[in-house]
Amino acid sequence: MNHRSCLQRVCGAVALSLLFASCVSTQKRLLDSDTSQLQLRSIQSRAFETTDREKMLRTVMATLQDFGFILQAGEVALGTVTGVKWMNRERLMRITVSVRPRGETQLLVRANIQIGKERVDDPVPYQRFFSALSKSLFLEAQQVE
Amino acid sequence: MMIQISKFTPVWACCLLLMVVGCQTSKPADFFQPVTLQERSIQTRVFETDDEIKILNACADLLLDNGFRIREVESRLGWIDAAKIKVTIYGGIYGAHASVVTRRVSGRPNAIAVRVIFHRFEKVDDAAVYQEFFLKLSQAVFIEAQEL
Repeated sequence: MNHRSCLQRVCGAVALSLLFASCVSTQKRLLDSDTSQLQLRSIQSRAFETTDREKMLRTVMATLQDFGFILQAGEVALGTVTGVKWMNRERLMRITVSVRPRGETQLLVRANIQIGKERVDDPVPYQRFFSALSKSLFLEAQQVE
Repeated sequence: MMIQISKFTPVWACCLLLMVVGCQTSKPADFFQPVTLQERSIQTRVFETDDEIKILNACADLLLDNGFRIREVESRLGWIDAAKIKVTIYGGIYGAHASVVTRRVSGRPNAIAVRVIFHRFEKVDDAAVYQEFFLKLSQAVFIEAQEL
């Protein structure tokens, strides 16, 4: 009986410590995630000195077509455009671009690239997209912090 | 000291090389290379009109006449997404996709540019397909299509 209660206590302690450890790691990851989210937002977003949302969406569409994307969705009300591109027979790349007002004189353009279900964090494809978009608009893209 | 080269060595070397090449995965940035000017020129024609909706409607009718189904339209963005799927007599699936985007040409208030891109498993590069589309579109709107 004594041996059994001892075993129960050990099991309880292990369970409690596992629970505590998981809480700590989750909290740590939560903070990590916040930092990387800010970084990612900076990679994915640019501000442009214009308020013409429709023109911006049209230019986004033209830019995606230039990169060989198939346009899948586009809506003025939501201010989003989505394009897809097959990387090979199995892998599909998807880009969703949203255009929103930023203050009274700017538009914020945010692009999100995914391969399958995974988000692309590499800054290079975003840089290439925004560089082409700026050229098409004859406007300079401003890094967002 | 002579090194003996087995007749299988080049075969193994080739296999190893193929393995190394096969392991290299393409980066996402590799897929952000703009199309060539020639490609864009094949896909685009300009029509002397200021009526974008008329051009967009004619594009939709033309696609419907050719067996496409309209999947999405956003007239404010000048965009049509169409697809056609057919099952062949041998049971195979034949699919095609068309994406049309219209826009006003900067500096030319009475000009609308139409860009169409066809896909059949992969992007269609055959200029004749695009020429036929634009010829039929010109006939439908009674306006001659000009190259960009």
